[in-house]
Amino acid sequence: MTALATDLIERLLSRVAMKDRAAFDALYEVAGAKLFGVCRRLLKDEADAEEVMQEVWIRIWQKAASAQTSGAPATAWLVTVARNAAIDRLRARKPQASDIDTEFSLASNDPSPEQDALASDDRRQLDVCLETLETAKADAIRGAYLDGYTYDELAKRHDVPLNTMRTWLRRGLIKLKACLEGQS
Amino acid sequence: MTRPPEDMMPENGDNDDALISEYVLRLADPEVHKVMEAREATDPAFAAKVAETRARFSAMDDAFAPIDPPTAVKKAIDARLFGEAVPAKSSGLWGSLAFWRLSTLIGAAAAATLAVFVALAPDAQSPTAPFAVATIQTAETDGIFTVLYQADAGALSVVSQSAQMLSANDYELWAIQGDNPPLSLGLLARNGQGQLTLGDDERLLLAAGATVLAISLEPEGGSPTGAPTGPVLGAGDLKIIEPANS
Repeated sequence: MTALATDLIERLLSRVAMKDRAAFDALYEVAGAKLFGVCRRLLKDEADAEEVMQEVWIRIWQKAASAQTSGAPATAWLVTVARNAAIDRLRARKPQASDIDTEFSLASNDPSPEQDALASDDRRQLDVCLETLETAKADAIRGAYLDGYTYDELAKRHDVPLNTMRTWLRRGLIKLKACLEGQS
Repeated sequence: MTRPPEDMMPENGDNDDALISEYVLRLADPEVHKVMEAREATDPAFAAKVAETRARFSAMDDAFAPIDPPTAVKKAIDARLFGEAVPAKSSGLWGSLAFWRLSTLIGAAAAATLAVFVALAPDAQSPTAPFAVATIQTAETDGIFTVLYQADAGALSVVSQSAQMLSANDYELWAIQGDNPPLSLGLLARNGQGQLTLGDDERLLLAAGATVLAISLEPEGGSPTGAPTGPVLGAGDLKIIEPANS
């Protein structure tokens, strides 16, 4: 998102907080594809993504006012709403061990060259710090954020015991924070 | 004495940070998650730490590639929120959106369409400050451009919602009024993004209304002749919609 798009989304969201139906429609035009992308990536299922997308926009309509007090940029707030709703759905699903092997591909988490070209400074900074971690730890953090994997799923995917994954990831997160604070 | 970082035991502060990160990543156990959620709602200092952590991870949001939702989804949302029989209100700043979205759908059957939404309001500091939204959908590349125009700053921005829109050519944005030759508003980047600050002439042109905007594909560096030479991806009227006095 460019600065201007971000600014527009901010304005629209503040109008939605005032229950402006037309601003809601406009916000959907501008941010709908992004949030549906979040739902699809996390849920990996079209029907589920469509259902959760409805929940997301109902939450946006109802909770837009709290976006202002959250202090988060509007776009990040919207993605958080979508991500949390999608993960709520993921966690409510029964564990499906069968799809793990067929879906698993570390390469699929790597940013494409195009995405790299578009990456924001924040993203680059985060990528730089993720690079300082072992590849598997960085992949686990990306997997948790972008694919909503649980510790259990991450442990299976990386073929390590659950407790090892917990320890890995916690240390990775601490190291990541130290790196990001060192850069800013 | 040096300690290898991998063997270092986390200090308590680090441990708290790791817990907050786990909460934000949604890795915390369900019971822990509930406790953290309640604390976030009631403890401002804790909420601030959560927000900070969330902001760090949101740098990864770029990796969520946009995907167009089926149109039925928005209809279902509207039905659930506003009741099926209730049409979009046609008053107010964004009153003509439904019409323009409809025109986009109709036009999408053709090669390309451009729908432009314009809103003008007096206060630059308020959410109703002047700006315009345009959605350009191109059938060929299955891509969507969103054009944003802030009349007060003369700032025009084109956002490509698809990261796949890399082109060997340059995208050039044009304003056309009546029978006058198209006026170039500037070039977009190869990925379909662009930030343009318009000069006084272009601002006056857009403010005057009755303007058509178009995007064409041009050789590197833009049209060599000053007029569109390549295929036009989309074009449409630039509509100025007066704000509601409410």
